[in-house]
Amino acid sequence: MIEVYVAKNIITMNPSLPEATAIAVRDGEILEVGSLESLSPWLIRDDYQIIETFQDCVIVPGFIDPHLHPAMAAVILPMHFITAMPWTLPWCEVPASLTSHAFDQEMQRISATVDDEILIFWGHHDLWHGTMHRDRLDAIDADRPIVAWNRSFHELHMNAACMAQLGITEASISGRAQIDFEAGRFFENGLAFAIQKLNPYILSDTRFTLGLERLKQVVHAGGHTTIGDLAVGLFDFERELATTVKIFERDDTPFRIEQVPHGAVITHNRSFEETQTLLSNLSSNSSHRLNFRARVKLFSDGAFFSQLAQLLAPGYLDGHVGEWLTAPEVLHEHILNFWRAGYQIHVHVTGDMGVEVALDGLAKAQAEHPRLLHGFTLEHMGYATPEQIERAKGLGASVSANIYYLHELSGRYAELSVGYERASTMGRLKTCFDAGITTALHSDFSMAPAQPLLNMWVAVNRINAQGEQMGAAECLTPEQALAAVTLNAAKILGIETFTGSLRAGKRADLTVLSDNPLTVDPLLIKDIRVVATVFEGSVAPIETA
Amino acid sequence: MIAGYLGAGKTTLINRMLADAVQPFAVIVNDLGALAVDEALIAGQRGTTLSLTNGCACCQISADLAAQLARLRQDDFSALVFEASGVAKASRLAALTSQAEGYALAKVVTLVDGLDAPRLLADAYLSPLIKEQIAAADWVLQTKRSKGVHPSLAALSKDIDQLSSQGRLPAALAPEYCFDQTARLEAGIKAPLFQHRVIFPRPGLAPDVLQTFIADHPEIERVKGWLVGSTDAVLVQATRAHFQARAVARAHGQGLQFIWRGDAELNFSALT
Ligand SMILES: [Zn+2]
Ligand SMILES: [Zn+2]
Repeated sequence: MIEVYVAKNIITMNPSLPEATAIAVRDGEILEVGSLESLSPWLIRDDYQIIETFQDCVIVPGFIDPHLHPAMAAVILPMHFITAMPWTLPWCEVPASLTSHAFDQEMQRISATVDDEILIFWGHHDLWHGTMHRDRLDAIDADRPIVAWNRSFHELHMNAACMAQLGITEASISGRAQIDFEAGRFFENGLAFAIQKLNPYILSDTRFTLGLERLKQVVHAGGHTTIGDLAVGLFDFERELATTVKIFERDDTPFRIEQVPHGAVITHNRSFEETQTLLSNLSSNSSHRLNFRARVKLFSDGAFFSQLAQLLAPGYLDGHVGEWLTAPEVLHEHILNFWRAGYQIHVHVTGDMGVEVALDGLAKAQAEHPRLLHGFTLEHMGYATPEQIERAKGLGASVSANIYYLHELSGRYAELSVGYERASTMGRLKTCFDAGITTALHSDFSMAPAQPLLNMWVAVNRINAQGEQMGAAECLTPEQALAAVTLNAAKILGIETFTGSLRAGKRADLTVLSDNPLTVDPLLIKDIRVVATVFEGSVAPIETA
Repeated sequence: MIAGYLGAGKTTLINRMLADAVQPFAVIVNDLGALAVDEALIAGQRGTTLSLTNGCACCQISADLAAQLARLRQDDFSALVFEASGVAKASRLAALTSQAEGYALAKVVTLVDGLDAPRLLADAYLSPLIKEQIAAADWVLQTKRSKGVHPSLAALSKDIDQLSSQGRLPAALAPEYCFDQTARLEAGIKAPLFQHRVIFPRPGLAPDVLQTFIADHPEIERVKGWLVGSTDAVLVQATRAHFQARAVARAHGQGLQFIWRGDAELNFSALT
């Protein structure tokens, strides 16, 4: 039986046939993309069914987010969101709570409806919601443990019942910096103390499983048919393997996960040969939806959100320096080992000095053992100079960028971190496209919302949280941005032979949109609705509130 | 806390502390991202060694460090030595670990390789880190160089002492003295210069080939590590006076650590 999907418009990302109106699918595989007439040689030879559900919609290749972190998301998603910005979560619509009164009302409402052992709210922000205090949480319910976690994750408050439950007394925290017992406030280093106490709850099996179930909904709602778990083992290698198979290898999961192991974790206490054996066993035991391949994730410099990216001169405004997550020489050693073994290497790089060290490693590897089409990828790439992009091109590197940095941080970083020139040119993506580099977009969820259309909107318009356009010369065209969340993202994961575009022979991974992202007003790209996805020929509708 | 860049001698120092310790003490190694040898060399010594494998210690939603610190409190240790990863900023890690319930940070000791210091301090990628590790320390010790504190280090701080690679450790480095903030190393003990290196012998290398190699090189002081065969492994522990090779079911680490006297290179090609 052939299923024929017809649509107002089908954007294929196949340069030889960029647009179409019908697509024939059999057993999850695309037979042909074209029009109803052009498909007829197939249709006269087999039974077929025309699916008209999407005839007023636009079909694009299934979205691919080549870099997010299911395990981290699983920790956060079970929390109750109360935020200043509205969030659309598949299991609930989070309204904008813009005042301290609104925040308290939401706490009250949620507290009346759930019976969590410890009630954890996430999203408190002083600017909107006023100062938090344990008395304020006690006023919500003095008898049940409550935590209010700050939007930044760097601070939380807990009420007296919660401290009692966790065994925190004034004596047990005496003299510790960055804890205010009276206010129930734990911040920065003091937060580590609180987390240590909360870990048994936030990492419990029930919550972790719930978190992954919710992640599944988030990924589907974003319109993805493929995601990359870009550091399996970030949190607990064995547990991640076991739990992800249980949650995701099921018929109701409308996407696949491309698993890229955390290089430092899998080489820890293993010889390189042992590491290779482990990884090739994992690859050959890949299941239908969960796949390891010859890929690895390595880390160069520190976190972008914490201003720990390593910067070339002139550095940060305040003169502080970033951090290495891996010593440069160790990173180079890992690069060389995996390079010789033929792996596709992904390196987390946030600052231009981090990029420099990664490219030095790639240059050494190329000099010793030249490879073509190796897929070496710079991940995130917050700051990079035009010359580095030229060098990356010369060495054959690809780029997978977190463009949401620009939206969320460029306004503040211009004032407080690196000055306007570098803040406005973070995510230098047009330069990458012009250089001919394979360039993709990712969310790094839970660092940014897992919504490819939102990322496309940022890449095309480069508008920051303050509404100002930053670095107009680096805006992508809508076509480039769409390529960055489909075909190019497939290349980043090394799976472009079977997904990422729509053409005969590829798997039928489609995303169905309410409007055409290439022709709508670019400012409205983020408002296009994801109607459904089709994963390997199975339709998975997306309900909207 | 023992801080310092890769190769500064942190593991060697901790091994010496373990060997000298009157009472057992605990060791936590935050060596994620380093090569696998470090922890393997500490394991098997006295005391309890735990290694952190999940993310860096700075990642706060990580059960690892907190859980291990909590677990260690069940055991009866009077002291804990925390080996920071080579790229850790000592100040950040100190701030973080000082929050652990039931622990008090006694001191941060930063080791700097006196031979490698000029290179590290000239390296644009690394010099800010090395300077931070020195600035954040309660006590800075230069390792590997016996001819006085290297001028490039002396220029950074007047308070750098030298750690001899031979003989008894200064009393102030015994864990039971670590709480005594006034205990200080007596600086300037002259000692022959030592080098150490981890090599990876070719699979199936026979122990007697190694024994002959050691006999032929009188400068070798100590060898420790594993020879790996196709199905089994041999744990080697050797000093000048004594060669011990014991078959074990499986290597718990990899590589052979050599410590030798003098500043000349050793040619290991007969073994690799
Ligand atoms: Zn990253
Ligand atoms: Zn990431």
